[in-house]
Amino acid sequence: MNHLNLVTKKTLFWILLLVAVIFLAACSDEQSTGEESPNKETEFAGGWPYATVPTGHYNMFVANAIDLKFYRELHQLPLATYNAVSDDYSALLADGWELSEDKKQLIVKLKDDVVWHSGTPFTAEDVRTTFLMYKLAGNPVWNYIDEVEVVNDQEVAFHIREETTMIYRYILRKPIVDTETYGAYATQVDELIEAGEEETSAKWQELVADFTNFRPETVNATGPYYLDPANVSQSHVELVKNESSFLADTVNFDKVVVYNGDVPDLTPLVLNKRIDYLTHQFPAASMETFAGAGYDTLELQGVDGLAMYFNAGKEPFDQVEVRQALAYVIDRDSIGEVALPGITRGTKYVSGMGDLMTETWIDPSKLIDYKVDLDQATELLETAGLTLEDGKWKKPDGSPFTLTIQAPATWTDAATAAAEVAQQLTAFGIDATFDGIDPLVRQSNINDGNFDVALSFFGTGQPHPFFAYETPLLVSNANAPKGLGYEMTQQTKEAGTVDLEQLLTESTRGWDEDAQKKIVEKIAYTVNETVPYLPIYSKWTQNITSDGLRTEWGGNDDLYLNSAGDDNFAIIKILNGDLKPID
Amino acid sequence: MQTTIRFIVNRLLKMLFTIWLVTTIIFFLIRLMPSNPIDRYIETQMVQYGLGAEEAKAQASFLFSMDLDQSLLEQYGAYLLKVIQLDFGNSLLSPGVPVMSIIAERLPWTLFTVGSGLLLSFVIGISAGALLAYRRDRWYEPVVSGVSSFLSSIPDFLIAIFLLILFGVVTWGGGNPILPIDMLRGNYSIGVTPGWNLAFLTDAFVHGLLPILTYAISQVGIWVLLMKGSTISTLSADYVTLAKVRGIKPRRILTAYVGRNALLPISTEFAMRLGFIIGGSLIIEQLFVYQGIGLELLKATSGQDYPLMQGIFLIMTIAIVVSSFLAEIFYAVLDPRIKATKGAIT
Repeated sequence: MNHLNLVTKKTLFWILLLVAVIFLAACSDEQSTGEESPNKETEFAGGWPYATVPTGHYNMFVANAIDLKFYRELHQLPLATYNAVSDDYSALLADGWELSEDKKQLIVKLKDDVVWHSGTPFTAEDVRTTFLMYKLAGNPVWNYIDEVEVVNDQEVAFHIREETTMIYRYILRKPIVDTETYGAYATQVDELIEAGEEETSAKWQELVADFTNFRPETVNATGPYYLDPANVSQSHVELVKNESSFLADTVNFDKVVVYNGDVPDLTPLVLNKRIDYLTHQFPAASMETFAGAGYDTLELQGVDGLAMYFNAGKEPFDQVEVRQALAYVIDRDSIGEVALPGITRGTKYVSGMGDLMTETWIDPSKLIDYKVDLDQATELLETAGLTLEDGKWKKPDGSPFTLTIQAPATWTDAATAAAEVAQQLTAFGIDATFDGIDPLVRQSNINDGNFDVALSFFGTGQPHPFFAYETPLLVSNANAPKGLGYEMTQQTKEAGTVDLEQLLTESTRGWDEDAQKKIVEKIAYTVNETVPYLPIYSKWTQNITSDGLRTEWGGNDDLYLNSAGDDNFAIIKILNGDLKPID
Repeated sequence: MQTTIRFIVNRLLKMLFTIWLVTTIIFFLIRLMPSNPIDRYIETQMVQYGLGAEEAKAQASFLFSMDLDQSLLEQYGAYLLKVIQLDFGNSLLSPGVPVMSIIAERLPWTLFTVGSGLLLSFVIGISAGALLAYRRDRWYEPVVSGVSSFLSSIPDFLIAIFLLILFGVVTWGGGNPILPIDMLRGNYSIGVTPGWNLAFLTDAFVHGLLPILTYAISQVGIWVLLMKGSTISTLSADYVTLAKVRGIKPRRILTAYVGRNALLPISTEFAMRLGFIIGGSLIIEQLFVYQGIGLELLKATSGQDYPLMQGIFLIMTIAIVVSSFLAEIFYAVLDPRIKATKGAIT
């Protein structure tokens, strides 16, 4: 009996201890008192997943860096920001830029009142160091330039190897790092270049290996905030105000907090109203709860999505009429509605690009719209030699026309869309089944030609159409062992004979964007007519903001047409002082 | 004495063989996973970071120095040679960072939370279980048994979500939540210096509190039910009845007769669970952004970081094999009949 009492007492002791600790913890933390001091710091809170030390680090050129994606631009500014609607750049570290008369150099003038957080003045040497680091990292910018020359402290000249309008983006949008931190490596890159070492040489690779192990202990900043490693925890990063920045008086928040994590671990923070902005895609039920709590949802036009890739290396998909027929059978709008309600929307145009990019770059009136037209589909299949018997389509050799639609089983939208596509095709008389695969084999299956029809990506968040065509036509086709099996030289009614590979290369060349548009038109019309892949739906993203709850986001809604991932509008609004806390 | 040495050497050899076998299977299983780290990395850069294919490929070739064209057997040979020297290599996704240093950084946090949760649930569970077995006629017996059954059937991540909302989100009486949400995320707060100081220990304990509670609540029911069942069957044993007839004090019966024997099957289960502590809990650590070995394994698996996955799996294997060995020894110590049967430990 005594012992039983002892057991009960022990249990009670543990329970009481736990309660006491919880109580003490709650009382000891000033944040939980609810009493706000008159000088309470204003903060903007977002979220992005990052790795912490020892896997995470501060070498911004190496994987697993604590770079915080677009939040990095708050402490390490690029030369300029981008506005998608006006298609122009606004200077940040740069004061201006222009092409030299012979158009062989892009001259960038730098602001002269910028200093690093460490107190060192920001100069052209820092820009050069940055681009030498990108050279070491094998960044494609060096496909278009061959030298970065310091003209003087406030002027830097990029020597152009390959003329392209994309050079502005490649140069102006890269965050700039400091010579103080990376200078020693920049010097070594210089030495290797002077010694004529190729990037494949042993010495070059030795330096690469050494650099990937380089772990700076500080992160210097030109932006209005500063990333102090002491302010990095597993939970969040606090970017504190960098008073020496030329933007320190423009921004309206004393600090920016970036919470670590993904959807499950960020949800409680939103429920707690500790978040001001997230690009994460939450389930519909969570979004409703957030709206009920006062959060605002920004619906951002989809720039990319999923398309049906046809395996033209297999019969009967080698016939353009069959691919066109399938395009006429598929109801893109209904698939967009069901794939991920509220997020996915059927594509308006079959150009191979996103709808917004299509309207910006080409005349969409010349495109075949591929609205559902089963009669047209029937006629096309019959032209291709297929026959309809007892409601089922047969191939020219008499065998049934059946196909599988491959899509990652764990991607909810893709799986639903694939099932819906299968249903629509089956109803038309083509027995189609959904083949759910591991997402890890999606690209390798396409590369190896192991598919009939596969759901994969189309579109891009980058401003040039080249990037929209790169994955389906080059990575998954021309540069793949088998891929789509789609010939890159095509005969078309609209554009005649076209060599898509050559056109893609030429689409980025030169300074004349109108000339580029003509080339892009040819590519788009070819894709539209020959349908190597059929864009089904684009993904409209929903970003949550605390507009009206904790913050005011101001005007300039044009910025919301920027890609949230590449040219984030929240960052631009913070930097230009549009975004502010509610008084 | 010689018998004991022979027993231990025999067991050690079996342990080594088991570890080698599991390590080998894991090595090949990991490589049988579809895709490879380079393609995976390129895909992530394109999907998550919006990079073009060319830029993503350039980054991958800059990052990965591994030779995937090397034959599997060559890779396996090199791996085994390194493992023998306790060198697990460097992480693929964090170049230059030894796998051992990652494990050394993450493992103590997992041991702290999962270990504390296990101990807490064990102590509470066996106490309550014994109490219920003795007090089967009381009103609370079916209630506690029912609650225990209920708790043991709830997935731990649901308990974690419930605790997170209860402590960190719900505002009681319109005020603040019980705990600031920052204290429920991560291992310790910004500004706290890790070390043997009160500020850090208190802070780390508060951060670990909810994960510990989650583990404890999710396991306590099992211990209660196991102990209750085991105690009941021991209480009806002849030697207990005889002890009562002999007039031995109830306290002595409880400790020397019932408790010791009732604990026998449970101690084995406890030792086995000790081994599994190393694995941590992937979902719980993710929910609390708790940087333990489970979360690291999750990241390593999604990025197909072969060396890190191998290192963590190897440590887990060793822990489980060693704890099984300890369970066997412990069992023999607790139950002299085992010694008599096997003549193993004298």
